[in-house]
Amino acid sequence: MISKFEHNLPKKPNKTKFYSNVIIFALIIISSAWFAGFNIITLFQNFFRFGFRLIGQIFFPPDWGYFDNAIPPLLETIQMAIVGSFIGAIFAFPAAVLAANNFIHIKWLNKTVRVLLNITRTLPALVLASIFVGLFGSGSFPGVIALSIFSFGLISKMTYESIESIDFGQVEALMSVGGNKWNILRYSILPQVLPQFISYTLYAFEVNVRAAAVLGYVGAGGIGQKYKIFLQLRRFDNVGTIIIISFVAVLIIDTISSSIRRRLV
Amino acid sequence: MVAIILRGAKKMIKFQNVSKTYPNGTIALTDISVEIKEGEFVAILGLSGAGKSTLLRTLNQIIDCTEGNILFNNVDINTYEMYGDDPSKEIEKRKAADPDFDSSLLNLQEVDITTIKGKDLRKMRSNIGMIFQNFNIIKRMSVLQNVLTGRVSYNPTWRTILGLFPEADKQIAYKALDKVDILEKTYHRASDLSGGQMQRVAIARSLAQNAKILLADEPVASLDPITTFEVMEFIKKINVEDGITVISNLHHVDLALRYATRIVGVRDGKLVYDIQIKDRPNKLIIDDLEKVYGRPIGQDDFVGDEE
Repeated sequence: MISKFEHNLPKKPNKTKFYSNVIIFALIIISSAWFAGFNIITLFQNFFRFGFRLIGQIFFPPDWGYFDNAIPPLLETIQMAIVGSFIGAIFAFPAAVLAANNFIHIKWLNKTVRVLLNITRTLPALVLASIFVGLFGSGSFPGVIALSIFSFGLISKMTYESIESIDFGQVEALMSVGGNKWNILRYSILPQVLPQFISYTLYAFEVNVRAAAVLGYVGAGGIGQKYKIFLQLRRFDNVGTIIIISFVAVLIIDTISSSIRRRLV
Repeated sequence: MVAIILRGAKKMIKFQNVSKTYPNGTIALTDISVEIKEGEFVAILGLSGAGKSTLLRTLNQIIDCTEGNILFNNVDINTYEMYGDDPSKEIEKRKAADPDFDSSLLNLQEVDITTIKGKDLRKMRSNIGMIFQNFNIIKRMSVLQNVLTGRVSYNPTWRTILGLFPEADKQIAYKALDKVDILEKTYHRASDLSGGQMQRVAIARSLAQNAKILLADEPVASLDPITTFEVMEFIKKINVEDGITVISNLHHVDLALRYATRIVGVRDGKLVYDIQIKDRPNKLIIDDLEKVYGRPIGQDDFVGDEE
């Protein structure tokens, strides 16, 4: 009975495009690996030759005696991340408002702000940090500036996209009561994007904690400085302690922050 | 005083040859001319896409018109407050509220809203309340804060940004909430309200802005039948008791016949029908509307009887 329908079935969709996409995609990956000199045999050889020993040196056992000394730089890292995301967020909101084309209808202004935002986002935090270490000397201050700029780019980009997708009806409502641009911003836009804005700031904070952990490598403060010192001294047991407490800290921060974010949006 | 009464003979709202073509080339309105008296309840009927929403939004210039003028009678050009078709009534009301009110300072003129901009336009808009199909209230704020947004044009921007509305404004808000029977929800978050309650808060917002005209864009289209009648009753109440002129787009013919005093039909952006409901039997109006809709009027065009 079922076979009766077969001649009435619409023609099967053509899958050529799908297969050709898969092939192109695979070619890109394989050729990239080739040019990057990636070799899976070397990977395994070196892992078995040196990797086990290194892991043994780091974790078996880590130097728990170093634990107390690792806490202050870890706290410094977290403080850098907090201040960086906070400063970034403060500047990100006005920038997002200027970039959103449904609130400010001046095209050249929207575009200019967006170009600036894109530039700040293309610069990795590590590069920014090295520049500011060059400018201000080493310490956590250049690190905080680097993280602020990085968070600024991240938060403002996501926030202006949120502003552009708000329900315009509430803007009409504020216009109809005779509200000006500031009233519209305060009562139509802010209540709609505030939860997302806070969520993006927390997300930037999570990313910042991870970024801040390596910023010390270029002299920008935090726990990364200790990594560098102990790797140079080949004190792998101390490196092990740092890795473990950083991992635990990041895990705790991510869990708390993402549970808050889930509740916000 | 004599001059004022002479001007009072004009009608509150006058559309003169209003046309609207959107930037993408869509023609929404073609040569609309219509006059509306103070206190009327005008229902605008027509198929969706006929231009009803655009027509409402040109009146408060949320959408600007490509051609034509929209005139408002007896507007004090110092404050852009409307004094309606019979200014002496409004003057009396103001004198009762404020003994120092000096009517000799008034300069009542006919104002064309299509020619004014910026601050003047915003002051003009504060005379014209608007409610929407989707209510457009701020869900994350309290009912009171929502109603207070109706007062933004009466306060300096810094106060409104900080949400510091004066006590007098709060009293106005409480009074407005009481009028639509929702005072007990004052401190509730707006998102906790039902659809009908949200629309009542939106009506209270219009009352708080001291609107002389209420534009209602499909005010009951997302409500169930029982709530529909509730909300329509409140709109009718402020129309009758406060003399607020109501102009409403409606989907349902029976609602228009029951609550409005006048029906205006729009088809393809043109005004094709205009009748005072009391002048013609309902059955004949329904027959006329077949021409406005370009199809027979069916069961879907009625809400049905109130249970």
